[in-house]
Amino acid sequence: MNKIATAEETILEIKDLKLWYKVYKGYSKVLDGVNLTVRKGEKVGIVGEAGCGKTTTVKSILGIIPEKQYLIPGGEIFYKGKDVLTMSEKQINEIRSGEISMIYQEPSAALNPVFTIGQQMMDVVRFSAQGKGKDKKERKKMVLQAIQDVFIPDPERIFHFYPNQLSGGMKQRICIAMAIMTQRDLMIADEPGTALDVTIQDQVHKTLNSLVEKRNMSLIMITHSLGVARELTDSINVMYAGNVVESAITSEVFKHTLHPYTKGLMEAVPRLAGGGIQSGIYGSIPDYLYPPRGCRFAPRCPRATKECTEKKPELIDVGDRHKAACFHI
Amino acid sequence: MNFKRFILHRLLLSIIVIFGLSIVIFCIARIIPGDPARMALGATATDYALENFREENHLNEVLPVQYVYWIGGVLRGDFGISTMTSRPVSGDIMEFLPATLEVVVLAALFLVVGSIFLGTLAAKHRDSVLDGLIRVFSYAGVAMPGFVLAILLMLLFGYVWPVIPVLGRLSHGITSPPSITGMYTVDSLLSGDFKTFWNAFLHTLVPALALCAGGMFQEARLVRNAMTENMGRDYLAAMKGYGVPNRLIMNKYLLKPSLIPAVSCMGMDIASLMSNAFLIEVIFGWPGISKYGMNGMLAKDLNAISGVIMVFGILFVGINILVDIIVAYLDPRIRLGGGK
Repeated sequence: MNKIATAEETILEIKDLKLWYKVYKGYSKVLDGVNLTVRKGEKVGIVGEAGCGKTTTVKSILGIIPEKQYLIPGGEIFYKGKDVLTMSEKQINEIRSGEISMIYQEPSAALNPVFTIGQQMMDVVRFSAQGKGKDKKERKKMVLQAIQDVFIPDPERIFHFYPNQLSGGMKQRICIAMAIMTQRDLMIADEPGTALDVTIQDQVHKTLNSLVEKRNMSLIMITHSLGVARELTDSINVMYAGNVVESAITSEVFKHTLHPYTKGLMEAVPRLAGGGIQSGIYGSIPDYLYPPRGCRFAPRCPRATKECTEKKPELIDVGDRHKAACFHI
Repeated sequence: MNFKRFILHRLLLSIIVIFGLSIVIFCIARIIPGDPARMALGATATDYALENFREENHLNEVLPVQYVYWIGGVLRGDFGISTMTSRPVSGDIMEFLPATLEVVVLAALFLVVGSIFLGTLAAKHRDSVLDGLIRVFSYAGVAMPGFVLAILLMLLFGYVWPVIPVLGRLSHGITSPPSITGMYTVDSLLSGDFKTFWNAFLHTLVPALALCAGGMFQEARLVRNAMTENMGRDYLAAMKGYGVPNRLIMNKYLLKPSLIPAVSCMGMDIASLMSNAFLIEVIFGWPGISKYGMNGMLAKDLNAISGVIMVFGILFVGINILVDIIVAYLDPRIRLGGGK
């Protein structure tokens, strides 16, 4: 019935990851102990509002946050049993070129404006685990195939295009093509489609979904929309201010919502059936320079007590693969 | 296809610009106070001689008619006779222009190579001592006029540490190479005389350095800023995330987009090197065209002034077209007009 029940092999495990950005005034303590597990073939969603550390979390897996800008005071990221944080640049490059690929949030920003689609994709293939050692002709064939795989007609023509000659949807497809050019085991999709209008977004999601399933990849899908997550993922991790606050199988999250933040998120979704926008959550994400001492959600939480402001709740098992970090569940 | 049309468009536009320039130059040269006939023939010339001179040079006609005479000559490559040297202006230009070009070309080379090299270096070692040093130099480069630097360099290499010659085009006792292009370095190379080449090259070095330093450090800053700004871009993170080696990301995917602002600025700087060369030529005793043109203005040598400025104008426009083409090559968004 569910893939998770059959495939129990863990491919990625993030344990208590903390990441601080260096800023002028000190450290911006963005990640405050993220826990995340991805099993083989599983589609995992990370949901949360803008600025909660979703992108930072996945970028730290690949080690692509510019150096000198951050500090990792604690935590581990195990990919297939090995901690990527302790790997040498050469080892981690092997993972980047052959194991994990990522689709970036903003397609216009993820493509270099002064090189053609072909030039960029050729270099990506050239240094990928599969493309290494292949001659130019073979590599071009791989690139054209990838462009075709994301349902773009006439790949030969697109090959010579510059990014600014393509529409937003086409650019996002090219980004996906770049990520699926060679076989990878884990795909990270950082809000693919957020920059696009709804119909195009739907097409992009479907394309991505079918490719992931066809190639038997695991997927981490970042989104701020619970609706998208419900449609595309097997399990959901709700993030708030650098913490995973609730984690469960997708249907379970919607059936037995536990964390007050997740509840708030659900109430914030406008419903077509009427009633307009519900209560939602007031306030905004805390200042990461001086985050709240206890639960980071406490200042906005309708159920916060004194305990919440003093102690940080751990992400605890509440049964049936359902975890939550709250004192009041 | 689009690219060809783009270049054609620029060429046609530049012809109009040069035509306009010729009118402006022609008028300005004649508005400068002073009687060209008196200036040419001296204080003791007779009225008859002056009148004769005016008649010969069409100075009694109204300005539009004078212009037609002059532009007609220019189109045939005849800029008239210089009253300073009593030779055809075109011949004078052919003699003095190569000397200036020799310095300017080397200065332009320093400017381009130096600014990209220093800018990349500063960006790579951002916020280090080296970066700070380049920053200081770039501010100093803006603040300090070229001739001050020229004098300082002259003091350094002529007196304190005399390893590079600082006066003239060749050392005493070295004969100039056979004139082919008029540029000593090129001519000596063409005739296979390496000793003369080296000597001529050393003589060009300090003037070229003095000429380009200000622009070079400024543009290094531009390259550095563009690079540090682009370093955080997603497309570089993406490339890194796909396992593309850092060296390639830096030298290809970061460098090319970062050059665009600097190249536009370099174009302007290189074009104005020609006219900035005057003070450098005076200081280093360099027999160049800027010096010739300036002397022409002091002597109200109408043909020399117009001729020199026309040459400057044509070179300026030519360099600008070249820069536009380079920028269009670097940035497809300009080349393709942003459309589909």
